[in-house]
Amino acid sequence: MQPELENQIYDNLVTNEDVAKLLKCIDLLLNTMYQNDTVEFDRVLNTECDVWFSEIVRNLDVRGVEKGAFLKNISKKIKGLDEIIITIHKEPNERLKEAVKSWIDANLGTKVIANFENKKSILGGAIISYKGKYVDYSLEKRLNSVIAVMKPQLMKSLVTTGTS
Amino acid sequence: MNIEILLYIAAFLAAILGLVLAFITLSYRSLIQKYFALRKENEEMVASAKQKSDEIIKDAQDKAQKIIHESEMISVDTKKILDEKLQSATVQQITEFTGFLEKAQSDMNNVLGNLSKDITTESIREIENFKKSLESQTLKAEDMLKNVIADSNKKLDSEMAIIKEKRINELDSQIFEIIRKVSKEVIAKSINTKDHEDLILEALNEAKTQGLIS
Repeated sequence: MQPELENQIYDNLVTNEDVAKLLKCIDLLLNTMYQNDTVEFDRVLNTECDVWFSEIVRNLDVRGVEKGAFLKNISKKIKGLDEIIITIHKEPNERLKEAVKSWIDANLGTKVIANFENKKSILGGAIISYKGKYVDYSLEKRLNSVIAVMKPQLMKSLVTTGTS
Repeated sequence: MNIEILLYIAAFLAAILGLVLAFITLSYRSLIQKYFALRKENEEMVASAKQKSDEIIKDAQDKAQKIIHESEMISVDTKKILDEKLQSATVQQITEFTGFLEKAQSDMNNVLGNLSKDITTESIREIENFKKSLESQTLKAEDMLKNVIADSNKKLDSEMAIIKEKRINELDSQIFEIIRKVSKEVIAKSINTKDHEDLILEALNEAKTQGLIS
């Protein structure tokens, strides 16, 4: 496989949802190839796959790359990509996805996929889990820490107010 | 041959039967004669007995009439004497009975008087005993009540302490839950989307700095 094609694919994969969509597209394409159904192959390419991936597949013949082997190989590599789980308080927008992608590329390389999970109660910040490690940088945790520090003083003032 | 023997035997048996019948007839006649003789003798004895009994009854009636006549002769004098004796005896009996009554009443009064004294004494003693017993039981009941109250107070204090601690903990949780909720609402309103993105990237950088991501 040509490295530039591979990198081009990784550049377009930001989240685990992107990965799932691409793997579905590749499976459908491979099925049509087993059936020698070129019409269905084109239909899947146009309707089930992202435009950037369709362009890559269409140019494979020009590059002299065999489609079936390419698709199987890329499917296998994508399934083996590392994943960083980022728990945030709401669905990420495209700007956040791009910002996280840039950060991942700069700090972890292109072969790491962001898996965004939502948990409204964390308020803000993020809980990050990567390669079995876990760290909580959420606002909820910071707020609880602040409240825990405030608690004795607050209780003392409440008791004083109550008895006076 | 056989017929002849049978005829002899039959004639012999007939002769015997005739003798037996003659004997029975004679015996029956003798028995009838005895019966009539006895019957006559019986009738004579009954007649004789009736005659004797009539004589005895007549003698008895004569004697009775004689006795009645004699008794009527002496009854007038006897009645007079008897009345006098009876009157005298009656007076004596009344006198004795009156005396006996007076004595009985006197004895009864004495017995009743003593009985009243005994009852009073016994009642006072019983009341005293009851009073002592009541006092003793009252003291015991007081002690028991004091112990029960003391135990109840201890138990109540203990329960109150537990309830107080539980309520304080509940209050504590409620207060800090309110603070937490209010803080969350304030934070959610005060942080915009850009701030959120910055916080997420900051978290990623922090994770890298802490060595989680390498």
